[in-house]
Amino acid sequence: MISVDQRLLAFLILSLFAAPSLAQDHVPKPGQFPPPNTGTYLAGELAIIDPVNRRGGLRLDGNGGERYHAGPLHYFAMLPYGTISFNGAPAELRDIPIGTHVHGYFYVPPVGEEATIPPLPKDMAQFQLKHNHAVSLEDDFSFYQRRGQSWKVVSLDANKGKLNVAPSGQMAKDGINTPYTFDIDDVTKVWKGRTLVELTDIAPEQVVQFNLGWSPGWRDKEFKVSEVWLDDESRKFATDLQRRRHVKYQKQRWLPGWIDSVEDNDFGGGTVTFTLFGGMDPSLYADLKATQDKGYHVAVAEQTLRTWFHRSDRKLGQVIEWKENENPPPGSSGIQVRMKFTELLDGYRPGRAIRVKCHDWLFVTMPSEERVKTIEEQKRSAVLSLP
Amino acid sequence: MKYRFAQFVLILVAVVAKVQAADVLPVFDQAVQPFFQTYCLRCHNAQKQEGKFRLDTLSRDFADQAVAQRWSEVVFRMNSGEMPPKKEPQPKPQELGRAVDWLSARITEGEAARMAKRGPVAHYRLSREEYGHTVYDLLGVYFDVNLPGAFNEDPRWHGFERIGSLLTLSPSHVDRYFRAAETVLARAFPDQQPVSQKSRREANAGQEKWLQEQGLVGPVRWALWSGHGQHLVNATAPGLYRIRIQLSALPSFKGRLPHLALWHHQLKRSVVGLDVNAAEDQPTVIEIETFLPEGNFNVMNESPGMLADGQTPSVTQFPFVNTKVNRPNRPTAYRLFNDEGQSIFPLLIVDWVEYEGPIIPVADQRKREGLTPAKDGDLIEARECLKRFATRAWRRPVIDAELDRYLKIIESELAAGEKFRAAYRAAMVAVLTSKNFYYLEEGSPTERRATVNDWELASRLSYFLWSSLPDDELFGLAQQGTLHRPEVLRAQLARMLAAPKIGRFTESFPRQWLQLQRVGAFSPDASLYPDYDKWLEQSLVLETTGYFSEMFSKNLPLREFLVSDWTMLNPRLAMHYSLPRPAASGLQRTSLRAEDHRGGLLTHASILSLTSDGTRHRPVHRGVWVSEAIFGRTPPPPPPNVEPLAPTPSNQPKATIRMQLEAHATHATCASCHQKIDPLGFAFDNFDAIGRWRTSEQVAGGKGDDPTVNSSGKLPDGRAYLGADEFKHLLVQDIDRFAEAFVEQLATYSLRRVMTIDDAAQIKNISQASKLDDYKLRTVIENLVLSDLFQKR
Repeated sequence: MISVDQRLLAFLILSLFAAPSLAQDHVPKPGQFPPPNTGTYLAGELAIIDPVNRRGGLRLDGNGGERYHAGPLHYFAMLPYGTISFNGAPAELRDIPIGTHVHGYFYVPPVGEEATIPPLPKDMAQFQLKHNHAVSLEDDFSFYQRRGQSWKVVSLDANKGKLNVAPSGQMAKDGINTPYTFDIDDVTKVWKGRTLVELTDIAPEQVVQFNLGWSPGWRDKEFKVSEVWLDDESRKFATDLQRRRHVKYQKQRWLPGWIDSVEDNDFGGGTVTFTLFGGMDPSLYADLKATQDKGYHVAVAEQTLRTWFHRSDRKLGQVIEWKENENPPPGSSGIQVRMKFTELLDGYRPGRAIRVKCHDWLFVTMPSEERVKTIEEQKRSAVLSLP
Repeated sequence: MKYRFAQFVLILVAVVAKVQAADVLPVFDQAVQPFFQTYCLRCHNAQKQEGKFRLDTLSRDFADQAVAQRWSEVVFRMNSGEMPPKKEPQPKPQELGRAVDWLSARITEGEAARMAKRGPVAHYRLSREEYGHTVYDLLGVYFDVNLPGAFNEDPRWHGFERIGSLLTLSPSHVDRYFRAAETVLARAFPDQQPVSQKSRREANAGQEKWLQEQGLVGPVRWALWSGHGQHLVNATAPGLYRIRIQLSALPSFKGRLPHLALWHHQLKRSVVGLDVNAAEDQPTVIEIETFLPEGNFNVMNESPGMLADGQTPSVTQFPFVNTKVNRPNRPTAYRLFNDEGQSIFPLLIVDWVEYEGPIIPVADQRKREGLTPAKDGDLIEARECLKRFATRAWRRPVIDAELDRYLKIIESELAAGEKFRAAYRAAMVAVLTSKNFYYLEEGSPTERRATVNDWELASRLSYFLWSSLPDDELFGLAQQGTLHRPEVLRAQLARMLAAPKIGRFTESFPRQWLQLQRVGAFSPDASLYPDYDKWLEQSLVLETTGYFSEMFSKNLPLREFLVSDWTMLNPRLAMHYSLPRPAASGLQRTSLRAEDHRGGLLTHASILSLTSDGTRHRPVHRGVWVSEAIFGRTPPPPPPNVEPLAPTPSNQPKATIRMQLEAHATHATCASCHQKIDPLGFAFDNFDAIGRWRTSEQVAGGKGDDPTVNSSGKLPDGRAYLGADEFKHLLVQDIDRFAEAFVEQLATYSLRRVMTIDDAAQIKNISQASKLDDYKLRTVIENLVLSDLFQKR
């Protein structure tokens, strides 16, 4: 027979494993990527975004202690190395339509960035969640597909606007991994091949991916299917469109990374080692790798990955070494580059973000609102403005 | 300098062949006739005359330029492998090498004889450096001969820029002498005496209100980062200026001191430079007294770094107060402080600048006394003044008939309506543009003299040691006709060696002897040697001239040119050599340890870099330099169309230059020379192209690690060495040969002509006499000055 003490001990042990919130939070530090699987999972609908500063607000799933009825959004900032996926391809916040349901893994604020997400007003303080810096953010399409989970259509009741599905393939640890009924209506976009088709083209046994959005039953974790892809071709097409958009975006703004170390020369210049952030399209890394002998332009960036006037505020260096780590930590591409410069910028400091331009990419001037232009603007942009 | 010996192969085996011209024929028969007989004469004799050329009747008078030219052609064709033709029997490399060596030596001897040839009157034009010193000593006017457009650069012979036969005169020279004379006299006797002005500029002036608004404690200062300057000094007229600057000077985080310079806006170069060190909260006041050309000057931090691409902000946008307040506030600004908060670059922080000038020292004003008439219109006084001036300027008595021509200039100017002062100035200009001024003349057209007279001796002596005209005491002794007496000459020499002007000799002679003009001639590749900067380049030369000066002032034996446990360093050089920084910022004597790998001239970075091509060290060039500067011998020229060393292909193991050369030297036409030259250069393979110590050679191409340096070798006489230190000690074992070569260099400099075999015996005598006093430097100089050679015409 189990004694009371033994039951208490067993409870404590179980609690330790069952409730991650009791475990000590990993606090990100500048220049260090977090260990794998240490982020806190949160999901919700992307309700507002500040695309320039890579921040936003989620309406979290369900009610959460009347949060749906009376509480605020969950405001968050992307970590500099935080990755965003949409339609199965790398993306920016601006690529994800407002109202899209997303999944993310979050950390408490990194050292030195505790004030980035300001505390909620006192009357909402009880809704404050400390995990507000995202290492990843994905729409349902990307989230489930990347984990090998798809959905098998069980039945469609177009009149009632209900779609019954069952998970298929490898089950995702987080998110929904049980048979589920979603709302669906004639606003839902249904893709087959490269074409929009009718709702009635959805048929049982089809293996699909979809994106979700708000439903009147949100507080009870009900979702509406906003977009559904019925076959591989449609999914590949969606992914490819987003991939192209992403590649164009990064070529104009350059690949983000951060400085690992700087060795100064007192006669000018020095050697800079940096790591490129992960989550980018492989062709972008390949571009850099193939043009090492031409050197790279390196612009300093804020932790938001915003640059000042990157086509001008950058230095050109020579690549000394290119190293690849096969198993990089989350946020890292595993690519570390050592470069020699004849001049260094003040922003080349360990832990600070940079953007790296391949020699063959064209110089583009970013619109004013994307650039940091003054110290005052830099200070303002360091903190999210609550709506 | 360069009389040539029969066999370069005997370079260190100490047998001097006193080859007289008359001896040439028999030696020719032994040395090269068998070679020609075997390989050449069959086609180039009376019967065949292949190519319409006969070798059997070619004159052996190498002093004849036309003959020497033909022999050069013969050597060229032998050396290039063109002759004998491939189908004919081919000589062994050693045979070919011996013949080419012998002929090259004769051709060079002939050249020396031609260059040293003297008629009844020999003319030696002043070098531009000597011109500058001469007008300063004559009139107290500083005339910068190096200014753009002032004078042509003088041609050099093995580094020497005062060889009479090379210093010819062209219309361009005459034009420049005329303009220089007008400038010099206008400064010496200006229509309106320039007023010496004082000025002061303060960084904090007018900043009190701003400091108060900002809540900062001042004062405001001028921060000068690397490559930055502030326009703070104006020289309204050329002349001597006294400048005082209060500043802090912060070393870089690696200890590099800031290099303060005065940078001339119009000339786009700095005219004064020195290293400075003073803590931020303990500023120091430095005082500079220097000649400045007219113009505007920046007080400048000339340390490397050059933070000025025109768009990257390098300083904060508000006035500088201190390094705590004034950190860059934009990440897009230059990185000025490292991650530990230390200043990355040497930083100058200036509080104020005071300057005064042009100052005319009393001593300089005295030089001008009695050279211009006190009264306008007094032609008798004008004649007396002009006579005094011409006598000083021409360094000899002036006869009335000579002076009449110049008086006529005054008269004709007056007749043309010029004012008296201007007319007199025209005559003075004529004196300074006379050949009597810019030529040193020795000999006379009416008598064949074997020795110089006392006037000529006075000039010879003063241009040797002071690079300028004789002073009053030498003039007086020349006038008395007693200067040539050994006791008088010895006393004068002692006086001259003790005078401050001797610094001209201790700077100029080593620069010419050691060919230091070549330092920086090929700027080191910035990507390979990013640490190399202009101040380092100047410091390299300063070490070597400073070393000579130390040898001179301490009267050290010549041996210490080859080996020593000391050198002369400033902080920049110490950093270059990875030695501790000297306490003071100027050049100073520093002790060396064996592990420092320095000591003696040959491991000065100046010497090691002047033979480099900007990217690589050049062992062969180093070998040639050692041969010329240390042994006074020039090896035969390389054959034409030598393939340059190709970069190591990426699929081949990395190879040192030595490895490549050794492969190259296996070629028959190359081997005979390289085996004599290369060992003199390989000894220094532990030093890179800018003279830094290394144990492996950085190779751009090829695969694998950089190869280890091999600095061992074997002299032609078989003695082996392992590295530069052992090599230098082998040279010390042959100190007599070095001493003789040194005397030859000194004689070339002082007598302004190339030494020939006719001088060999006297050079040897001087050297042997000096040996009795352990070849002490001043003793060598004294023995030269008191020798027959020094007074020989």
